[in-house]
Amino acid sequence: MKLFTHGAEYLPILLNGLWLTILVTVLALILASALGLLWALLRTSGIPALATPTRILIEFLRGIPILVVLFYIYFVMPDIGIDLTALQAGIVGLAITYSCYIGETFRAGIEAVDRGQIEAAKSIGMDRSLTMRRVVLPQAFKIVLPPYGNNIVMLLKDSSQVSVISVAELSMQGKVLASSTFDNMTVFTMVALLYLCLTIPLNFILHRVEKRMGKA
Amino acid sequence: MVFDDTMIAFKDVRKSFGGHEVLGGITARVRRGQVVCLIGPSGAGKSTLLRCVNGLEDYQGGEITIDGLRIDVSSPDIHEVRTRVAMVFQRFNLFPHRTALENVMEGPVFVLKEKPAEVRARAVSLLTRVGLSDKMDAYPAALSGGQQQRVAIARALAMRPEAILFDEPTSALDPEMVGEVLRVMRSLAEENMTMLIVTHEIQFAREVADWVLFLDGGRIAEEGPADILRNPKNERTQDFLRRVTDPA
Repeated sequence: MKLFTHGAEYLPILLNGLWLTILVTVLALILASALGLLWALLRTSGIPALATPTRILIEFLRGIPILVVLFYIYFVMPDIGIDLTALQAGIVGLAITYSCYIGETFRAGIEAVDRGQIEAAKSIGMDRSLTMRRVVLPQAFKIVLPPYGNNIVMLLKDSSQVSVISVAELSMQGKVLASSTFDNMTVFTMVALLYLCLTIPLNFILHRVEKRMGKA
Repeated sequence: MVFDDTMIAFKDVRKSFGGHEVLGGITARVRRGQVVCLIGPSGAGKSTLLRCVNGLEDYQGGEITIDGLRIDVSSPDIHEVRTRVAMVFQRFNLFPHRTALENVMEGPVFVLKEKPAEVRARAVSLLTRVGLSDKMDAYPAALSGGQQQRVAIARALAMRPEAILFDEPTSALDPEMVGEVLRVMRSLAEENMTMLIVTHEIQFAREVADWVLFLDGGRIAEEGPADILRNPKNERTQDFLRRVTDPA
C-alpha cells in the first residue's frame, strides 16, 4: 500500500507552509487585537463623533468577505501607490477583517462590566483612562477570554485564505504538493493533522488561561 | 463668602428625568463633623440627591457645593472633587479582581499618587480597624456581604476624605451582618467624621444622626434633629415611620 509511504518526503515542504501559517496568524492576531481594542475603546467612548464612524466602519468591513478584502489590498492598493508583498497584504487583510470581530468581542466585554464598578472607580476620583486601565479592562479581559479565544482559533483557520493571493502557507503548500504528486489522501490528511497540531494545543492553552483567570 | 462650618450645601437642587421630577428644590446643608441621615420612602430621591454630591448623577437646577466648590459633572475638576468625598455603595462595588488590601490601596496609590509602602501601612491599619486583619489578602468573592461592606468603608477612609456618603449601606446585607457595618459607622460618627447617610435603619439614625432630612416626592417633607424620628409632625413622616418601625 503506497498510502502515507511518502509522508516523510512531504513533511519538510508542509512544515515550510506551517511556519508561514504561524507567522501570518501571529502577526495578524497582534495587529487585529491592537486595532480591535482601538475600535472597542472608540465605540465605548461615549463620544458620538468617535463612536458612530467606528460603528459604520465595522459594519462596512464585516459585510465584505475576507477573500474580497485580500484581493482588494493585494490587487487594488498598488493602483493608489500602496504596494505590499503577498505576505504583507495577507497579514493586513486578515488583521483588518478580524479587527472587526475582535473589536466587537472586546466591546461586548467592556459593556458587560458592572456599572457599579465604574461608579466605584469614579467615587475614588479615577478619571476615564485610569478607570479603563485599572478597573474595566482587567475585568473585561476575563469576560472576553472565551470568545476571544474563539476569535484566535478562527483566525488561525482563516489564515488559509491568504493562499488566494499566493502566500505559500500550509493549505497552499498542500494543494501544490497534491497536484504534483496526485497523492491527495496523504497530503491533505497531513495538512489537516498539522492544523490540528496548532489548534488542539491552542485550545488547551486558552482553556488553562481561562481556568486560571477564573480563580482570581 | 460668609465664614461658617458648612461642608456640603444644597441650594434649591432640582432634577427631572424626562418630565418626571425627581428632586423638586432641595435646600439643606451638612456641617463639618455632622452626621446627616436621609430618610424616606423609596423613590423619594434620597439616593439621587446623595449621588449628585459626588457627581455620579447630574442635576439641572440649583447648586451643590462642597467647601464652596460647585459640583459640576462636566467640569474637569470633578475627579479632584471626588477624592474629597468618598462613597460607600449599597452593593459594595469592591473591585473583584483585587484583594481586600489592594482595594483599599487602589485610590491612594493610583489616584492620589502616594507612596505604596506608606499606603500599605495605612490600609493594614484601616482593615484592622474594621475588624478584617485576617482577610487582607482575600478576594471579595471570598468575603461575606458584611465583610465586603467593611472593606468598602476602609477603601473610603483610605482616601482621607473630608466626608463620606453612604448609599443604603446595609440594605443589601443579610440581617445578621447589619450590626457589624453599623458598628463601624457608629465609631466614625464618634470621631466626628462628616457623613451623609441614606438609610432605612431608623433606630441607627436615631442614635447617630445630628440632623435628619425626611424626603418625600423629591422634597424635604420634614427636617430636624434626630428627635423628629420620635415625634414627627408631618403626616407622611408619621405614616412612613409607622410602616418601617412596625411592619406588621
